[in-house]
Amino acid sequence: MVLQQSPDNSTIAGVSLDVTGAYRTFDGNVKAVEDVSFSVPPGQFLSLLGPSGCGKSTLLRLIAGLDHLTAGSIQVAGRPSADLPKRSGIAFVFQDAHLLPWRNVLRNVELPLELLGIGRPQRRELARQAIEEVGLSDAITRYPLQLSGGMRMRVSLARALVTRPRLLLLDEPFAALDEMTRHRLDEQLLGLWQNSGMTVVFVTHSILEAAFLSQRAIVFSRRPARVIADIPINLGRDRAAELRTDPRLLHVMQEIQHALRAGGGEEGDEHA
Amino acid sequence: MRCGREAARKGMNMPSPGSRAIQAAWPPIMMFLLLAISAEMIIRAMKVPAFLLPAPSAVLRTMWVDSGELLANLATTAWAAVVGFGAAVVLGILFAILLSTSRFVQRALYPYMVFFQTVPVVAIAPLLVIWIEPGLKSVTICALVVAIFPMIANTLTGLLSADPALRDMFTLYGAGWWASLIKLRLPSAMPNIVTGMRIAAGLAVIGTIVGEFVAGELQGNAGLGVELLVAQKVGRTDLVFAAILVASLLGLSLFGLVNLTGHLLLRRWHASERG
Ligand SMILES: Nc1ncnc2c1ncn2[C@@H]1O[C@H](COP(=O)(O)OP(=O)(O)OP(=O)(O)O)[C@@H](O)[C@H]1O
Ligand SMILES: [Mg+2]
Repeated sequence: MVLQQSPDNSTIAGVSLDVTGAYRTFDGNVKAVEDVSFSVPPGQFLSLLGPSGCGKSTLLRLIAGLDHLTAGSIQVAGRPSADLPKRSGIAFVFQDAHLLPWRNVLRNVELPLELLGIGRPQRRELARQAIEEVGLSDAITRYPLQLSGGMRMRVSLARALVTRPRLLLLDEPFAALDEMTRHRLDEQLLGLWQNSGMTVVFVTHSILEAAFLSQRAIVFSRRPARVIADIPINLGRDRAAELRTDPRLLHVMQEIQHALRAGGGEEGDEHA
Repeated sequence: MRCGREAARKGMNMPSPGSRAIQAAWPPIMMFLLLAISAEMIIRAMKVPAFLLPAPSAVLRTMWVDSGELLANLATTAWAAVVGFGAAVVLGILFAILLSTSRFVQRALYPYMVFFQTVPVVAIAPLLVIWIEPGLKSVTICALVVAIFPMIANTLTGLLSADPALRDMFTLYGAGWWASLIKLRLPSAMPNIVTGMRIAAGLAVIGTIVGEFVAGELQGNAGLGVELLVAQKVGRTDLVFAAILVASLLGLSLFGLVNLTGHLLLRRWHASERG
């Protein structure tokens, strides 16, 4: 299921995601997620925004099945994410690259396939392909310590894409990078999404990033996270760098900004 | 900032590990020579009797004259220390893995491990003589007993400190206990394991000498510790010093070997090995 191979990835369909009345309360009565519901159709690029500490990362972990709901349900492709089979085609990108420092680029990207039990020749081939997609073919034998922050993040992206996921979850993936690098990586991610049919859920603090990348933005309130706005972004699927200065984009950004204000989440706490 | 890092990286490649080692060894060797020469002059000037404090030159002469005996004893001591050290490394890592599997086992055993670490070996050695006959076996076990605790403690810390995000990733791709151990937790623990090995190397030599004092056989080339005791009984202070010197050289070489191994294992990925 993970490895439906084809020369171009366009044949790999994304999956639907349904969050229904989701609650997550941690020990000590810390409510992180409260009555969150939304549905994502297959192939959609969705951004999640909200004040720092409101529960976005918690929600993403719940979607990935890495944490358990207190109440409600989360379904990926119509099945509860908590008991999804391990090879369910979900990939996760963290805020920092989190590479294995003792493995070179190729072996880092190979890792997911290795854990899924794919044979060496095939996983080498797929890893090379994924590395090429993020434009790092020259650095294939380098170690993480020998890479810049942007390159490391691209390796991390390649590692997530190597299994051809049908649902890609990203938790502020480029937040630690400088603006230029972030813009380049945003464009790269956009291209990768356009060329595949995968569903993307993207957590970010950057209103510009959310508006530029996604087809829809959901804004959460302060902790516990509750949906306070669900904003469609009708800027088409084919986007390019020029869109960043498009007045229509500015308009969308204003809308997101208003929603964040209403929820009590100013940009002030962006760099927690 | 990236340019700076690039430059630093290039600079780092310049001195080879060998020349770096020589650079590091140079000052302490100078210091040693300086101290030895001063001691020589003072001892000669004050006419200190040799049975109290032999001059460095006399110790050097003894090392040469009695080199056959010293080397034979060194071989015995080195064997016990290396085997004890090796066993401590292997068993220490295995025990730490066992501890890392269960929070309960950890909580139950850890206080006792700390307690055991405070029991001096000299106090354990007589027991070993009671349980096992005196000789190489009990001496080796002595070395093992002292060297194993830093191995366990350091390895356990390393195993438990694997990156939580990576653990999530391993879960996401359905990695089992064994795959996580081999591909994530043990490699993550490698810097700690090397640290543990550094401490264990020195302790293994100390444990061996102490073991030989208490549980060594008193015949044949039973080790530097035994030779040291015998030399002291017959008033050969020069030979005592020679044995001490040889024993510390053994400790130093073992430490050096561990450092080299650690460097080779970690040089590509761990900041501590990149200058
Ligand atoms: N394992 C846990 N145990 C207890 N509390 C937790 C746990 N994980 C998260 N929390 C709490 O849940 C709340 C939400 O955390 P979360 O990391 O989901 O926020 P976030 O929206 O991702 O924040 P940020 O934007 O800063 O990344 C926080 O108050 C946090 O302290
Ligand atoms: Mg977060």
